[in-house]
Amino acid sequence: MATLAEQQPADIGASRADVLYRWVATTDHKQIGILYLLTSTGFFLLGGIEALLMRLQLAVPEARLLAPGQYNALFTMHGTTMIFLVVMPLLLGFANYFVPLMIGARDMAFPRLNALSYWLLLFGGLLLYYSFLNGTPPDTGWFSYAPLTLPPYQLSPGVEYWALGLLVTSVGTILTGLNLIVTVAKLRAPGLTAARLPVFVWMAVVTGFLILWAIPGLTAAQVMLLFDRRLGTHFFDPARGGNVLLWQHLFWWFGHPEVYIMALPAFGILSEVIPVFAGKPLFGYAVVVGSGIAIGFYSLLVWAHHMFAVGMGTVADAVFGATSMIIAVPTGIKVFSWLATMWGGRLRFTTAMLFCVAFLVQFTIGGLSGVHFAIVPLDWQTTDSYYVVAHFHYVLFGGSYFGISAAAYYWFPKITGRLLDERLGKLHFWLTVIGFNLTFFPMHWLGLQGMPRRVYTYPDLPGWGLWNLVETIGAFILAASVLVFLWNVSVSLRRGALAGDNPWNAWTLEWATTSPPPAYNFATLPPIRSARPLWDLRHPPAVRGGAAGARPGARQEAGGWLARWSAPVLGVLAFISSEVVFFGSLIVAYLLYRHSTGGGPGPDILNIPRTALFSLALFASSATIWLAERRLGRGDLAGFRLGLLATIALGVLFLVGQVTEYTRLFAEGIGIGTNLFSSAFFTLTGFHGLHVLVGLITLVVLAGLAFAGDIRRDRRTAVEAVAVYWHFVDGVWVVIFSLVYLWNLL
Amino acid sequence: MGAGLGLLGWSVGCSAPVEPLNPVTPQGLAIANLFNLALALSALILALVVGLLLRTLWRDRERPGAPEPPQIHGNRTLEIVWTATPALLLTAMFFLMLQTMHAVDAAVPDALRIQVLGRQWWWEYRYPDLGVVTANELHVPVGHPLTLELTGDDVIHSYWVPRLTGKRDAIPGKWNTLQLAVQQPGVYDGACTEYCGLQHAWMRIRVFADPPDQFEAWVRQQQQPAAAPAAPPAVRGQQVFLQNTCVNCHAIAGTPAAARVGPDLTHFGSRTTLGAGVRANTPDNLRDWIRHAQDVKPGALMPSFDTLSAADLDALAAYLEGLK
Repeated sequence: MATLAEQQPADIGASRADVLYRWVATTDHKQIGILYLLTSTGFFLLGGIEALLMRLQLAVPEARLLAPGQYNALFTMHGTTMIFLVVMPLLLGFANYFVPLMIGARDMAFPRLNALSYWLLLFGGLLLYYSFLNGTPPDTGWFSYAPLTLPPYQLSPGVEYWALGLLVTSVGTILTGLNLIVTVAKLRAPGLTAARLPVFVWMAVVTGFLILWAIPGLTAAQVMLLFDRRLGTHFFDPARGGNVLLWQHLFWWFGHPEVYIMALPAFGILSEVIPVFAGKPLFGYAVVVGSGIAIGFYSLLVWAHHMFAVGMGTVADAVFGATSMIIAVPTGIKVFSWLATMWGGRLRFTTAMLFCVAFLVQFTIGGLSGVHFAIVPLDWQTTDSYYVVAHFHYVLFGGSYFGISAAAYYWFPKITGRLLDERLGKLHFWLTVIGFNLTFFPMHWLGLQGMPRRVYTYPDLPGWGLWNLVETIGAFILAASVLVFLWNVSVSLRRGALAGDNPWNAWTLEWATTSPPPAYNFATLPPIRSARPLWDLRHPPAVRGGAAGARPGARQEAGGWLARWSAPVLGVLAFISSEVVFFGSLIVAYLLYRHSTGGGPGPDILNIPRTALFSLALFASSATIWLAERRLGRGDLAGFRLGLLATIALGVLFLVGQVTEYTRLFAEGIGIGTNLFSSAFFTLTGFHGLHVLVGLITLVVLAGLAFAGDIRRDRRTAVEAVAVYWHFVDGVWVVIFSLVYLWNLL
Repeated sequence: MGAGLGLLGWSVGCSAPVEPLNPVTPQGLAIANLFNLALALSALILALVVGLLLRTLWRDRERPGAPEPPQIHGNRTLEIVWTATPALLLTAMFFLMLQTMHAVDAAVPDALRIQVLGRQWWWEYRYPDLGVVTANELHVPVGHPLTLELTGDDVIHSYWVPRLTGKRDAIPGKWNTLQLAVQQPGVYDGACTEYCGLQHAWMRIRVFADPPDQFEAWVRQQQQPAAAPAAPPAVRGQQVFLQNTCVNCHAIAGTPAAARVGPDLTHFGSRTTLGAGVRANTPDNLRDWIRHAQDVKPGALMPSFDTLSAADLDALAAYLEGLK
């Protein structure tokens, strides 16, 4: 980052240690964005090497280059790496850097939380990769289907590295999701209404919601998996009554929206890059944004299309087939809208634009073969064959990766102040297109020839060896393309042409500041009267004509109805929506296993009157914190402190009740591993208790601040945020108390 | 894409037909018809997108001095057209899908029941109404309806023979069914398609569809216990088998060996492959398998019996190959 260092005055004369410290301690969204991009690139090289090793092993039938266990570990790590440590964080890295710039903000809503997110990603990734140094990389696939992940089928700790590493990165990702949402909700420049937001920003918001609502399903499943392996529970163990399909449902609840978490931001990138290089506004802005929201919504309703072969029954299969087919409609709208944007434009074939053009063709192929998987009987033939490997690489590589590459060429000058070399860029592009299609197109064919995926070798059947060899050659051309790109970056960083503020004549706000932007992002902002503020600057109203949707009368202050809530409260609300999915997953497990007692203890052993008494304490604490808030609002600090102390006391009372309940159960010999009922009971109520504890800790911190005189009437937002969270914790207990205890009275 | 696939298909010649599109069962045919339609539609849509794209790439490329293009923000009619057309196509597809699902899954009366147990890493077949148990190679009568009842005995597996019908998972704690009737005699290969651990790659399937009389002969033969060995090396081989740990895992009807951990070997000599498809079943390969199973199929539950003497190994192979 020599250019960056040169151009940031603060770094002039700074020692290396100072520079390093500034990167490690940074809360600047641009530096964090760069850290994301660099980290993901590092993991991309690792995931790529894993892919090349796999392709070498598969180059000829019955090769013996790798042992089967090594191959299985490589495909597990390749998938896990590319999804969690490459595509998702690369897109989030761009979102981190550009969402605040594109909405004219100084930084993200929660800069320190943003830094935490990045470090959780890095250390989660390192924890996952430490498994190699330990000699036990995970080898159960990125989907880690039970019971293959459980003893006696899997004794190595690889599964634990996989689950724990991803748990850590997932927390960071969830925090990034809520950060993006609150940033866009609260920090937009004046005049930047929802209808004028860049599509990339819109897609970052939709992605943020998908992250919040999808990932906790995986988190809950991984917690239960770790309990199965370490605490003696049997959530997923069929030998002890556990249901292996519970894992699949929870995993794909996360897994399918995850596809769109990796695709929607790429759609956003195309919606920025194509209009700029076509010299025309995005065709059907509202429809493109709306289709993105529709895709996000439907992506939460299609998870079981990954499970058509498990025998869910005709009705479930047909319903999930239908919802999955519906997604093709908004996706098709996007492709046609991009085409229409180019139609009649003035196309500049920059490298960024070329990557978008290739995206259109490849993503269409991936989308069409995707429809084949929505049509249930075709899925029965094609799923888990190489046909599906071809399909999702056309979506995630031919689509998302090409979008990321377009973003790299488009935004590199803004990030570094220098343009990437276009001649090397075109070499990079053509090598990527040729390598990609050589590697992945023949996989359609091999899948239809009956080649299963996830095999370390294959018999010498007619055509199999030939096409596998072609794919391996393609993979090495791809590797060469990556080297060309890295070379381009390193050359251009030092000797690339200076970019200036707006090298592409683009029209969104990130181009209204210097390249790279100063720490404070903008000295002044242009007036915002449409989705293209910089276009408007170059085309004053007199010559522009009426169609630009820039009627000054339509101007509206940022915020609108969202202004009622402070950023911390919005952040907590977003976080709560994520927690709802986490508790929802645990509740599903409880409902599934409520009667799975195996003749042992069941719900009838629970002492309802006692628990009701302690529950009353928790419910009462919602009232006391509400009173405390009101007192603070009136400036009655003594009353506020009293209310806070009462809330803490009631919360502690509830926890004491829970501890005594557990102690009694333990005394009767009932533990978390006794049977499926007890596993689900202790997991659900235990996680709730943990949330009460976390709430209590924040309340104690608040009380400390209150007694130190640090909380005044005009600084209530922290109290509001904590109160909202506390009400949620109480609300969850209303549900749990009804389902786990009161239900038994019926 | 259909066009691309066709081109690929043509280039490798007729020796390797697209398997799911060359079915030998009514169930597979129903899927193939729908698949062909979907591929044709996909090819049309792709051709439309690529055609429009090529046209705009050529016509609208930047030329020096060209004026700024007209700023068009959208077109309601077009947007409705490209929303409604795919929606209508998909609605039609949905009803065809329901019809196909019914054709594939409809139960047939008087079907022959065959239980399929997925195991790490081989298949066990049981014909409960015929009293036959065998492994890895399935024999079925041509023209007769069949119901495969699938389950997983350890982890999840999935049963796929592309020319017969779609795949179905073999899940521990659950029984799934596949309905089919093979219309054409022949040998049809398939494989496990759910990742099931170390040797998922060598969990191949081979289905022999025999004419009815041939199938009946096969059943009669399989119902017999193993014939007592007559020739001296085979007699010695049986002793080797019974005196070693072979009996801890394998069963040979008519001998004291009755374990059900590994494949039933009562008629091992009548199978064409060993190790769930990892090698052809020849005496040389069998000797290699017994002595070096862990090299041929690392991680398989079968240990390498590398301490057997050459004479014992030859005798054992002769015995097993004689179990027709």
